[in-house]
Amino acid sequence: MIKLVSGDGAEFEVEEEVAFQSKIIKDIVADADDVIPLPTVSSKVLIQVIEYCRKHAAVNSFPLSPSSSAAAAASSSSSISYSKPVSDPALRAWDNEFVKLNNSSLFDIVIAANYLDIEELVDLVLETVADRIKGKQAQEIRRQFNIENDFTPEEEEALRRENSWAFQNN
Amino acid sequence: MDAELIPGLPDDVALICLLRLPLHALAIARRVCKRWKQEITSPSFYHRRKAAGHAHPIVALVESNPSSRYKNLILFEPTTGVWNKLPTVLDWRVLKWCIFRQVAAVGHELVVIGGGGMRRSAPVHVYNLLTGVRRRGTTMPGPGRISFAFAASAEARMAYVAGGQNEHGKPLRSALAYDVAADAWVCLPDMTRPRRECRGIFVDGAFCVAGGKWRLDWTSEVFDVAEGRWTAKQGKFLGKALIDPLTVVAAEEGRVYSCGRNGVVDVCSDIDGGGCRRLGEFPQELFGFPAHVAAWNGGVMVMGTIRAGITACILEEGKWRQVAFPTEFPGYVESLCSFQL
Repeated sequence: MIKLVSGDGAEFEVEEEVAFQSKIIKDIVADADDVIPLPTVSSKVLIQVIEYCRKHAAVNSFPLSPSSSAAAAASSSSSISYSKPVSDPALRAWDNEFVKLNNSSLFDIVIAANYLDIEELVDLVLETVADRIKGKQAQEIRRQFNIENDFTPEEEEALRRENSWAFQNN
Repeated sequence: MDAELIPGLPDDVALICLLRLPLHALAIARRVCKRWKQEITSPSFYHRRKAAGHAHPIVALVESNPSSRYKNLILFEPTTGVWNKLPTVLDWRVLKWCIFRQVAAVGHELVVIGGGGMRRSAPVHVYNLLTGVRRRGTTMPGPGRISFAFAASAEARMAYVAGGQNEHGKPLRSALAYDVAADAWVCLPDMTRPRRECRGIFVDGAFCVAGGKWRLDWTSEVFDVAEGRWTAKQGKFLGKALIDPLTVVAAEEGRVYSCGRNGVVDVCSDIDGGGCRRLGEFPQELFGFPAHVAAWNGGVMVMGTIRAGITACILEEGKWRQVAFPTEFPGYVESLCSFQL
């Protein structure tokens, strides 16, 4: 068992294969240390990250189908953050439920996942955020992500004229 | 201090998020705020996007509706199925009155060139896909040319024109190149023979053209860009599909994709040991006759024309899927090209 300590001092005991979803933790433990302080991660976020790792560790160690083990093998061999669709439909459905959170909770998770180097989780959250940008107009995007519109009305009009792609989705 | 790209996210993480957006979403996202515009309109953003494996194939088409004389420049994203009509330009009407139009992608820009019609000039429009800015290019010099070959080299940022016929129907031997960045035309040496109907593709640093005075006497020749001259020397397989007027062809990464009158789709190349391979057969019920083909890494799109209008199917991993044309674009496709962005 490995002990993770959140920024607010809460301790979490997790199995190795769960904690090793994080490459950073795997490296630290290799240097013989099994109490790991994570000062920048709050306990609220750490609980969510552990939940994700527990689910994925279970599925990755007992692949339900040959294709999901192939996906796991492919993901461990690549170091670039490509989007690798999770091929197991049950795990995918679980992931889709997991990311049904507001933007600021998702951002906290992706910052933690990025720090802990959990590639699949970073990928999942960024894809979700990208999905929330797609199919929206500029004003909706600004509202959703609290972005200030710093264009003058004239600049905006010029951009609108230039960039108004008539859009059709089949 | 600049505002964050997405408040609450470190910029490097937010940027990875933007890299994943499909092109049509980027066209909207660049209007969100100045920082987003600055990132999304910079070439380095697209280099990173490509390196991270998020570049999407795009097919650009010039669509023409004979009943309304309306011309559209349309982008289609095979991966998302999204169609976009690019905004019409103020002087797009110049192009609209031409009887012949072609499109090619050069780097991050689309070059549309027209020919024939009342004005007897060949207007050039350049559309920057990163910024959405359009500009008129320098008109192609020389006779009011139609039915010419037009193909572009993305690396050299040049678009090439050869052959065709002038306004009196005289077959032409002359050839030109358009330097997109410099907005300048350069004359090339003449081809060895005039080609009244001419078409071209760009393969392995060479502008390969085929055509003839009549449909039965098509031959091909190759302009080697590095040597600056025409040669008869060409790959064993590249010319084969190109000289058959009833076969449509497209080139991608040194490979030539073709769809013949019988609907058979082949890929031929002189790299990978050379040779031709059959990829599939266009579904018969949709076929009519082949009108266009476009190819990208992992996919081939074939358009057929039947009485009901345009049909299109995409072949990926040995399987065909039909592509529905939006009802707003009921015309026919004059020209298309594909690229990755």
